[in-house]
Amino acid sequence: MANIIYGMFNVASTALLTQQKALDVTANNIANVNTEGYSRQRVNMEQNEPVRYQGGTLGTGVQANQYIQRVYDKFINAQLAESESLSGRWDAELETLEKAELMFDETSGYGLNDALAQFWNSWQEVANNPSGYTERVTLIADTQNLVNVINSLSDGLSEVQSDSDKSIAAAVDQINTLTGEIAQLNLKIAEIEAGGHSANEFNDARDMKLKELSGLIDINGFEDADGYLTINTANGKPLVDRTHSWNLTTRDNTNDLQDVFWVDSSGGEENITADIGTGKLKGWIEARDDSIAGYKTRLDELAGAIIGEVNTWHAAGNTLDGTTGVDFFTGSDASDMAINNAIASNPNLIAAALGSEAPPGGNGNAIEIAELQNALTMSTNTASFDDFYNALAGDVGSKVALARTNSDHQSAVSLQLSTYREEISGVSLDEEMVALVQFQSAYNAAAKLVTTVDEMLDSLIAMV
Amino acid sequence: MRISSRIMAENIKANMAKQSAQLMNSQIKIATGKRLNSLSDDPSGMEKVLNYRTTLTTIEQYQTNITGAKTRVEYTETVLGQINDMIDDARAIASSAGTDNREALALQISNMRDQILGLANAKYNNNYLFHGHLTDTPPFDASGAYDAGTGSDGDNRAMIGEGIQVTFAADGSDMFIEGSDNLFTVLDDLESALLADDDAGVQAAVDPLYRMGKQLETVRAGFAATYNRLETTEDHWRSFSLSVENMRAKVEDADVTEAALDLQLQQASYEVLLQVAADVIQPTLVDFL
Repeated sequence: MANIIYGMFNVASTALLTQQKALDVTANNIANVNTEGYSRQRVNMEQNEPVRYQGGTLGTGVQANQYIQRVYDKFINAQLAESESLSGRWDAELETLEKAELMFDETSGYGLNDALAQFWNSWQEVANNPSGYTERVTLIADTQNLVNVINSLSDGLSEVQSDSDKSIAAAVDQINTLTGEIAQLNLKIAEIEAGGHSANEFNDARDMKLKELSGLIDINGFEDADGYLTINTANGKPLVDRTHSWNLTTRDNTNDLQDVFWVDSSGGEENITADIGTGKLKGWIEARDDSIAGYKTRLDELAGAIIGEVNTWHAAGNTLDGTTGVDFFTGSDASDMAINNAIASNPNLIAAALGSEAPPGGNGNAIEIAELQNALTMSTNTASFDDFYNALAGDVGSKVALARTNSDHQSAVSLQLSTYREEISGVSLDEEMVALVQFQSAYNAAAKLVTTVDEMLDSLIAMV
Repeated sequence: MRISSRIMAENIKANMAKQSAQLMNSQIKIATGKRLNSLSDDPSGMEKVLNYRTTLTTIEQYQTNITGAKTRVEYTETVLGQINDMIDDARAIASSAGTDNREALALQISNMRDQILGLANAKYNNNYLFHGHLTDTPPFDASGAYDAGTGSDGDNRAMIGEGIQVTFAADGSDMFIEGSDNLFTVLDDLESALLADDDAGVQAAVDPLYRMGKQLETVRAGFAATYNRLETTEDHWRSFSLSVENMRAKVEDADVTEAALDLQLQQASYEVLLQVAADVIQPTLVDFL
C-alpha cells in the first residue's frame, strides 16, 4: 500500500514538473509575441511507462517530450523566401527608376522639353531681328541652358547608375555575411539535433537569414536529413554547403560598373551577373544596365543629332562679321555637349544668314535652324527631336509605373504569405492565456495532490 | 483560420499605410491642381502633355513673330502710303503747273524729294527697311543714287507657322526705280525744269511719276495681302492654342471637385479604419481574467 502512496508522490512531482515546463514554454511564447520570425512552441506531453501492480496496471504520471515542438510549415517558409526575392527585385528596381525619373523633372515644366522649346524659339527671335544684339545674347543664354539641362540629365543618370553600383557592392557584402552566419547556424543546429534536442531558436534564426538572403539574390535551398541547409545560386554555384560558405565579390566591367562574381575555393572567380534572376541584386542590375543605360543611349542619340543638324546648317551660314559660320556646338553626346566657346564670347559669330545671303539682314539660316524643331530627323526620319524626347520621357514614366505595379502586387503577395505563416506559427495571446490558465490549474491540482498524499501519510502514521 | 496577435497588427499597419498613401495622393492633387505629378502617374498622358506644351510654346513664339511682322507691315505701309501721296502730288504739280509761282512749286518739289528720300531710308527696329539684307546701310545716298550692293535685293522673311514663312518686299530699287527712271532723278529734273521754265521738261515728269505711283501701289497691294494673311494666321493660332490648352488641361489638370470628393471619402474611411483598429487591437483575454 505504501508503494502506491509513494507512487502518487512521484506522479504528483512529474505533473508539477511537466506543467511547469509547459508554463515555461507558454511564457516564452508570450514573451516573443512580437518577435519577427518566431515560431510558437509547444510542449508535447506523454504518459509515463505504466507499472504492473498486484495484477493491475498503474499509470505513473506524465512527462514532457524533450523535443519541444516548433509549429511551422516548411512549404510556406519556402514560398515566403521566394516572394521576398521577387519583392526585393521590384523594390530595388522601383527605387532606382524613381531616382532616374526625378532627374527628368518634366512635371514642373523646367525639364528638357521646355529647354528645347526655348532653344528653337530663340532661333526664331534671331530670325525676327538677325542683327539684334539682344536676340543673339538671348539665343546664347538659352543654348547654355539647353546644354546644362542635357549635361546634368546625363550626369544625373550616371550618378543613379553609380548609386546602384554602391548598393550592389553593399548587398554582396551582406550576402557574404549571411551565408557565413547560415553556415555557423548549420553547425549549431546539427550538433543540437544530433543530441535529440530541439534547436528551435536557431531554426527560426536560420529561416530569417534565408529570407533575408532571398531578398538579395535568387537561391535554391534545401535541408538535408542531418539538419544542414544547403544553398546554391540560381546557376548552381554553392553558397553554403554544410558548415562551409563561399563568397561573392564585385569587379568593374567594361562600362566601369560592377559585375558580381562567385569565388571558388581556390580563389578563382566566375561572373554570375547575367544568371541572377530575382532579388534586389537583379533589380539594381536590371535598372542600371537595361533601363538607365537605355535612357542614356537615347539621350546621347538626341544630343548627337541636335549637335549634328545644327552644326551642319550653322557652319554653312554667314555670320554678322561677314565670315562663314563655325560649328555651333562642340562635343558629340549628352555628357560633353557644349556651345562653341568662340560663339559664346562673340554673339556676332551666330550665322543667321544663309551662305547665299548677306549679313546683317539675311535671316534664312536662323529660319532653317529654327525649322529643325519640326524636321523628322530622329528614329530613321520618323520623329522630330521633341517627339523623340517626349517618347523617352514617356518610357521613363512607364518603367516606373510597371515597377510600381509589380512592387505593389508583390508586397500584397508577401503580406498574404506572412499572414498564412502567422496563422500557423504566430503567437496568439488569447490562446496563450487559455494555455496559461490550463497549465496553472493543472499545476495547482498537482500541488493539491501532494498535500492530499501528505495527509494520507499522516493518517496512516496516526493509525500506528 | 487562426488569428495570431501579429496578423492583426500587421494587417492594420498595412491598411493604414495604403489608406494614408491614397490620402496623400489626393492632397497632392488638390494642392498642385494637377492630375499628373510625376512621369509615372500616367506615362502616355504625360507624353501627350509634353507634346501639348511644346506646341503651346511654339504657337506663342509664332504669335510673337506675327505681332512683330504686323507692326512692321503697318509701319512700312504708312511710309509707302506717304510716299505714294507725295508722288501723286508731284505728278499733279507737273501736269497742271501754271506759269506763275514756278519757283514756289520748285521749292515744294524739292521739299518733297528730300522728304521722300528720308522715308525711303526709313528704319524699323534700327534696320533699314528698303535695302534688302543690307539693313545696316541706307539704300539711297544724298544724290538719290541706289546702293545696289550684294544682298540689296534680299527678301525679309518671318516664320509664322511650321514651315510657313511670309516674305516682305525689301528691295528699294523695285519700289523707287521704275525701268530706267530713278524717282529722285525724276524729281530733281522736275525741279530744274520748273526753275528753268521748261514746259516740255515739266511735262516729261508726268509719265514716269504716274508709272512710279502705280508701281508703288502694286507693292502696297502686296503688303496688304501679307497683312491679311498674318491676321488670318494669328486668328488660327489663337483658336488652335485655346483648343490645345484645353486638351492639355484635360489630361494634366486635376478635376478639383472630384479630387475633393475623393479626399473626403478617403478621410472618412481612414477614420473608420483608425476607430476599428483602436477597438480591435486593445482587448485580449487578459482583460477578462
